[in-house]
Amino acid sequence: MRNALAIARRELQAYFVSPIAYVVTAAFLLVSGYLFAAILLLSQEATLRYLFGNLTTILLFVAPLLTMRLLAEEQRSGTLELLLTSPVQDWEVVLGKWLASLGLFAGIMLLTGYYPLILWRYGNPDWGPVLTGYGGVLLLGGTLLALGTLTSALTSNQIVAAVLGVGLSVLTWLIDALSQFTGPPVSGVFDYLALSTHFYDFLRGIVDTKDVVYYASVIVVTLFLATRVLETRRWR
Amino acid sequence: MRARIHSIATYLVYAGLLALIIGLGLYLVTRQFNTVVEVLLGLGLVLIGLFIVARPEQVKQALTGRTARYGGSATLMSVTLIGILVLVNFLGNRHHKRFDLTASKEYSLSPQTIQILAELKEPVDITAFFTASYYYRQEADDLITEYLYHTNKLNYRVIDPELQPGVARQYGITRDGTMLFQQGDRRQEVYYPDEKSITTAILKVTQAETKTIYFITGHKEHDPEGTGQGSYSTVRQALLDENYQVSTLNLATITDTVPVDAAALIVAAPQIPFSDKEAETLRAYLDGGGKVMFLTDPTLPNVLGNDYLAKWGFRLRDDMVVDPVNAFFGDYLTPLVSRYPYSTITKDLGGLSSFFPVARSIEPMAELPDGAITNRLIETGQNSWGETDLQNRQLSNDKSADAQGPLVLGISAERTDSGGRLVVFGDSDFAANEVLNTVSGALGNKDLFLNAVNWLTEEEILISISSKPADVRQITPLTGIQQRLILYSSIGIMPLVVIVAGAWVWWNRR
Repeated sequence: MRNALAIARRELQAYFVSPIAYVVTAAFLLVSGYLFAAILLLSQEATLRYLFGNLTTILLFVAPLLTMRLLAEEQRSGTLELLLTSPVQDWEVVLGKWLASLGLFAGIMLLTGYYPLILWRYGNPDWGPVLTGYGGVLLLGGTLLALGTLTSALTSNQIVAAVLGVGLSVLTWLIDALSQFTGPPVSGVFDYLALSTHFYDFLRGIVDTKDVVYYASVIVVTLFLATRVLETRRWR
Repeated sequence: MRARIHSIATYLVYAGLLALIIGLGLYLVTRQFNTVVEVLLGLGLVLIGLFIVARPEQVKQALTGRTARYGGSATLMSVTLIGILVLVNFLGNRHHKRFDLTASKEYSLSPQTIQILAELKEPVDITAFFTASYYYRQEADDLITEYLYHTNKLNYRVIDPELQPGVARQYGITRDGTMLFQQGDRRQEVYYPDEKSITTAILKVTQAETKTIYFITGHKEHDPEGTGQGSYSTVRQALLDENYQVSTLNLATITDTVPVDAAALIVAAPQIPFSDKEAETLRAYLDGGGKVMFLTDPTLPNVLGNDYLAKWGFRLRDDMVVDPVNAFFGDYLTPLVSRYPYSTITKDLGGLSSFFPVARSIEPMAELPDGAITNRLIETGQNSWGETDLQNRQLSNDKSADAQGPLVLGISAERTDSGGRLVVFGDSDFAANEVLNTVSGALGNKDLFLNAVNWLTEEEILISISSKPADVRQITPLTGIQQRLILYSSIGIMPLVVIVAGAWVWWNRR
């Protein structure tokens, strides 16, 4: 575990000198700031609910951009062999990389803290839903970053990793649409599998343990699969 | 032969896989296991079988080689982990906890509803008939989600009547947004998804016996079965919708007591006085713990008598209420009420106005007799008065003779000794067809009447559930400068901070 944290720290430092991280962060904040202001001025409501609802769609495309480099670049430059042959477990590499991306993402969300400050200045927001909204965005973001880490493990090309990540994220987000074509109990399974259906309660100010269990499970499975993919390099 | 097969074995396996894929694809699309599918699948298996026969050493290597061993173990581990997590999620889905962090507990059910759900013994089927465009669809789903969280005795399903018109017809549903509650042969329809309606419906379909409301007849009362302007068929239907049975009763036919199954009696403005014996029957019923709603109008006989009513803590005045300020469309004799004194019956009527064409006032006694509890239900405005000079066509507020506003038009009373309950209205037309059917249903008249009946029949758990409005928090109105400040700062500040930080890092590393 300590190794994973060391890798995470190293990877976070790499983010700080990576132009892509700055560009992606700035672009994301630009879009979210615009959405926040537009929604606030139109609705006149002291809530972040609608903002979070819109941000999720953007996250589907932004999260893979944050993770595309993680393992793909190591494979391209050949440094992955060094990492894998060092006395570090494969899962520690994957976990560390994912933690780094999560740290960066948390930092970005910290910068959006400017929005609730405005709400507080000009209104009396209900802090419960603001809190659960942030919690939900972090859980969903963590899940999307895990999916991106997996696709980054699959290829040595960053662009391919990003595109695969977007595809996988959007598919997992929308898979509940399949429930329209199937009857119960299969439709219930599709509804349950979708990333989107578990986000709704967080927006409203409700925390349901089953949503937390779902996101945590997807993160665990995805990071586990990413580790297995790295492992194949040993025997492929 | 064998050599020939050996040389084309690679093509055979590809052809075999292709046949399998096409066969499976056909089956998935058509969902029919017909000859073509069977042949394709069979062919695929045969071709792959040929490959195995032709190149056993290659197959053996693929199955036992290094790749297979490692790959197999990786697959096995993955399948095991996914299996465990599926189980965890299955259990997590069944035994979950919900935490409502909104300040007003906006999405939490009331304790009464939770208690009713906990006491459910038999399952209740809820069938919602929602078209795709039904406006309250999400609201209904969200609310039912909260109900399902507290019980596993509810079966909820949604039918789109446009996609499955047959089902809607089978259940006799014609209105989009209808939720049908069923248990056994009892059914209850709900048209708007709020907690009170849904809990009421659940309670009604699970209650074994239905309560009977008797309308007293024989003295030119409002007729619950008639269809005329003055009759009470609309409230009768509303009572039936609430799963009450409605019947009529002529007190003169009663030799002993009121029928034992009577949940409440309604005396709707008799125009002919009761005989002594009839009045005595009614009073005896009340004194024995009976429940009565008595509606009357100016100049009509007070069949219970003021001496008797005093026992309950109020009297009826012989006047006619005039309210020049809060008048319904300028009719001074039709007081309009939109703020109600607090009571179990009126507390969820806030904002719904009700009006009372030609009413007399009720005088609550300053000192209540022992054992009586009263609650004012309706009060007119400050400027109203009770006109006692009914001969004079000119309305004038004679402060020495006329009671001064606010005047009580409706009152509920109960006796703590007998448990009897009495609701008296100084007006009877407010619940008549002509008022309920001609004026928009948003008015509170019908709810007032139904709530009073519910209170009489002790459905108090239903009355006390109120719908929570959405907690919308507006920001203070913004000036133009503030709007632009918010817009530019939200868009600009944070991205600028990031870009400047990036440039600084780049400059230092250059």
